[in-house]
Amino acid sequence: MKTNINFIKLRFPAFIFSLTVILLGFWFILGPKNLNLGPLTPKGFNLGIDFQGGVVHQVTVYYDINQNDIRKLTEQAGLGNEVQQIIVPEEKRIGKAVSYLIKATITEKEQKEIKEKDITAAKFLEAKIQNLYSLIKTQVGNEYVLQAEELKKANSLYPTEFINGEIVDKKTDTQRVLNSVVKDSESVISPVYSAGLRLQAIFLVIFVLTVMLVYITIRFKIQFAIGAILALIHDTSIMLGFIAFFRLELDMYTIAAVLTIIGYSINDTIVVYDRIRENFGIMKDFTSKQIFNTSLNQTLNRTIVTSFSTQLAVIALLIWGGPKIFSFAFTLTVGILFGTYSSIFIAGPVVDIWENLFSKKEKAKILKEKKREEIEQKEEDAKDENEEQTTASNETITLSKSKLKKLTGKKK
Amino acid sequence: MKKRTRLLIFLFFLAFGLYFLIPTIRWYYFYSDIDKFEASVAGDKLKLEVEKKVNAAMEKLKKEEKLDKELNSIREEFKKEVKKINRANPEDKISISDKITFTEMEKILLEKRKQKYVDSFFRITLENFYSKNYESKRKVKESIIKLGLDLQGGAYAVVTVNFNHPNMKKKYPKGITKEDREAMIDSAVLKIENRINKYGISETSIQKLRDQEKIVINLPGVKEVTELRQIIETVGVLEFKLVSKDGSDMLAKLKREYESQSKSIFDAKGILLAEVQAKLPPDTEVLPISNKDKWGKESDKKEFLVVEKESLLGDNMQILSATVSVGDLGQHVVNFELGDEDAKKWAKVTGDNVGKQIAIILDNVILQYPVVRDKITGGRSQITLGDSPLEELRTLALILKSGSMSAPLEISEENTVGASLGQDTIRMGLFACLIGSFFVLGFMIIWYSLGGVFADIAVMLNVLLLLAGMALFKGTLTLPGLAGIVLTIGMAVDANVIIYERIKEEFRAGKTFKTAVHLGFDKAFWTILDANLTTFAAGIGLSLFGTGPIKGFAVTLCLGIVSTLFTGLFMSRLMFDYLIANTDFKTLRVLNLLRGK
Repeated sequence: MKTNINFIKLRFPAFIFSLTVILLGFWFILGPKNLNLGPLTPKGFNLGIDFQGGVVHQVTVYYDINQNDIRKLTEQAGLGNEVQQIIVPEEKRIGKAVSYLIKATITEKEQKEIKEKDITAAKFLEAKIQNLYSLIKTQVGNEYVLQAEELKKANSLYPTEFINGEIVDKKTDTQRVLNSVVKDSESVISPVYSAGLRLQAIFLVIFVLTVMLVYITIRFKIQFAIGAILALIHDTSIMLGFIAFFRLELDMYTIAAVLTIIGYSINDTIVVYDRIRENFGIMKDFTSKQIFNTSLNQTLNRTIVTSFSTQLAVIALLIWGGPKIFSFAFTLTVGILFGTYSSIFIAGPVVDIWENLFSKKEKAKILKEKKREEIEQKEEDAKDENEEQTTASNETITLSKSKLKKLTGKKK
Repeated sequence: MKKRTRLLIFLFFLAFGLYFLIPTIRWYYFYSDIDKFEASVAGDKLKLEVEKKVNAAMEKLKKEEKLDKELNSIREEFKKEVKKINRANPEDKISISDKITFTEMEKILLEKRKQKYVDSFFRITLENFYSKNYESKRKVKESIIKLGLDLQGGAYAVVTVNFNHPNMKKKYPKGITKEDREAMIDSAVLKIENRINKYGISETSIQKLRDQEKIVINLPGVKEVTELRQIIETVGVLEFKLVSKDGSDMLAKLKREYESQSKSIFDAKGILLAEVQAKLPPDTEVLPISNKDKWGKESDKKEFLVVEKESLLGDNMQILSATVSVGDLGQHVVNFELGDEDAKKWAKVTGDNVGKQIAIILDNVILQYPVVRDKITGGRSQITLGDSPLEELRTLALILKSGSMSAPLEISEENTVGASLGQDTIRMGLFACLIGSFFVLGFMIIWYSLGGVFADIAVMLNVLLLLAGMALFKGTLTLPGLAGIVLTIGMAVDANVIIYERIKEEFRAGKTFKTAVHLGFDKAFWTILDANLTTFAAGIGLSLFGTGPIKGFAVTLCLGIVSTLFTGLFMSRLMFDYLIANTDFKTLRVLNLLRGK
């Protein structure tokens, strides 16, 4: 498969497209929060508790209690209103168990309260959660008794080990007793610590970019490094925009996904750069535009195949990986798409622009090329007139033909 | 290099990978829950478990029931014992058969040794046999790829010392120096270790991040975070108590009596039997003496002392300084200085009890019990401890200095995951992983035909090496780590893609297939190396500075890159060299399944 797409010609539409996506992303991240524009309303990041401090708590209630009731109770207990039901598959369900994920961040007002009372954030939150438990218990009762059918199912699922929240002393042949509310998992992060994590995340991203800048400058040239870093910043900004738009939770896992994409995208970019460097050696008389186009076309197959195969793996994660991995996989999907795009349309063209602006040799080459083109054009015109051809041959085709001749000639 | 040498290198790496993966495979696929439990018990719990087994085995053996393995190990020991006896009485040699029974052995031994010795001989042999069993299981456990908290369930906490606590300001009106801070963190680690060891969880890890003044605690398997909170927030208490000599003698006597009837003075829960307590002097309690093995873990075999219940200086005394120095006779001694109030009390206490022992107790464990030589006035005391190693003295000084500080600890991050939740996550993650790899491998075959098969073999070896690397570096598999593996599979084929596309290009440019393959590999080499090294550099940085999920992810990433380079550049080339050794292909059919040309 040989392609001959003029990528460099497409750079300005690509720049405009990228800029639009990035600016839209920034709008969703930083725009004024009090506007009401339907789906376009900026909402900012949905910060996970890693970065804001607070608690994520998964609780199982062995009674049929619906999400709205739980939400009312969490609000009453001062734990906000972010409640999400977790589907328990029917074959694993014990009693009338329902699971909820409750996320509560610590507001600034609460931070002051914690300071005044001189307690730890963990204790502060624990009190609220205990409060929530007792609220739920007043609504549904303290215990849930498994009998008959439910007991049979429970015994087949947990023949010897205990069910989460089981009151062991009350276990008999005809019944098993559970606490009506049980904690499945919990993670608490204090606001002070999360501020540190926030800094760490920013530091890590900047650190990685710097390492790459230095490495590429050593292995290639400074303009290549700048092109690569711009492409990476482009990918990161777009991913953050998507995260904000879809209200995906921004936590350490998401940062891991962003860093993965940085690694992936630089991989793509380097492969293209490597070909460009090689071609600069072979195609000495050609302008950088031509070299870039040739290189991008030569590596296009590889870029697409790799991107496709990686995407296959990530999409499997997206579909079958379960809820905990979903936002991670989603960020990766978007990232791979734009990472591939940026290594073609951003990283290469940026270096080309640099060459055109700063390299004297390059300017001379372009002048020479222009002159040659003019001569060829004239010859072409003369030919056309002579032979009275109705269809004028395309300039680029002639160009590439003549170039090919030169190339093969040189090799021999 | 010759093909055969390279094949050998490849086989070496394959064997290497399998070797490090075997414990992991055994653990997750062949170990029963009982085996897993036995591998994880430690400390007091282990002692109880072994004791239970020994008792059961002894009973069975006495009834001559079948217990081949146990009996064999006893026979071995018995033979050694008989040799000793024979050496002592060369005239009257005992000969034994290979199938000697337990009763026969007992009879022979009883003729030559005391009853008590014979009993303990069998018990010790059995104890060794069982502990070895536990030990070998624990060794397997230590060399497996561990699952992170998010996949396994358990508790995790990051603990910091609250230096801004009002109590701190009271104690250090002039501000806290850097050394004080460090000492406080060290003491906090000590205290937490002391407390956690009591729970008998063997995989606990307590990690000190000195620069960040943080302590990271991992407690896999602990379900309730309240347990962890208790451990952390109940700060260790340092006390001085008077040793009751009569009581201790009495206890030793009782212990001997009980043990000769193979009973313990403690009940199954480790609480002193009431009948024993009743025979001791009033207002006393029995405390264990710290007996750490060379790895710093509390050993199972403990001695006990009886001390008076009342603490000499209360549980909130003020120790101004504690240092290790060289004493008059050239031996190392621990010096410590008490605050004014306590110094006065100390003078009275030491004056009244010259010649008696005073126990230094941390969290109800006796660390040392020096003898009072003189009345100590002015608060400056010196403890001389025979020939204790210097390290032990330093620890004592540290505990003395910091034990009274009661640095307020604070949990800044805390995470508990229920075990069943972790199981669901890992089940789904593994499933997605398998499907994803299936997709990628299938796609490669469709796209590259035989080349795709080669790439797939390389990718599978890649995953094997990656997992082996994780086992070797004692890595932990977390959820992002799992995703990292999937991603590695996706990206690992990249090396092959670059090479194949290059080969096709060269072939189309008019080269023969053989030359095209050589050129393809040579030219792709630097591209692949450059592309991967950039990511590798970043990965190393991440694993140095990142914590938690980022770190696990970075380690997986780096190992993945190394194995990708190996499999992509080395393995695939080897396979191609074998392919083109005898035939030179005329078309690109081996690389194109759909488009033969």
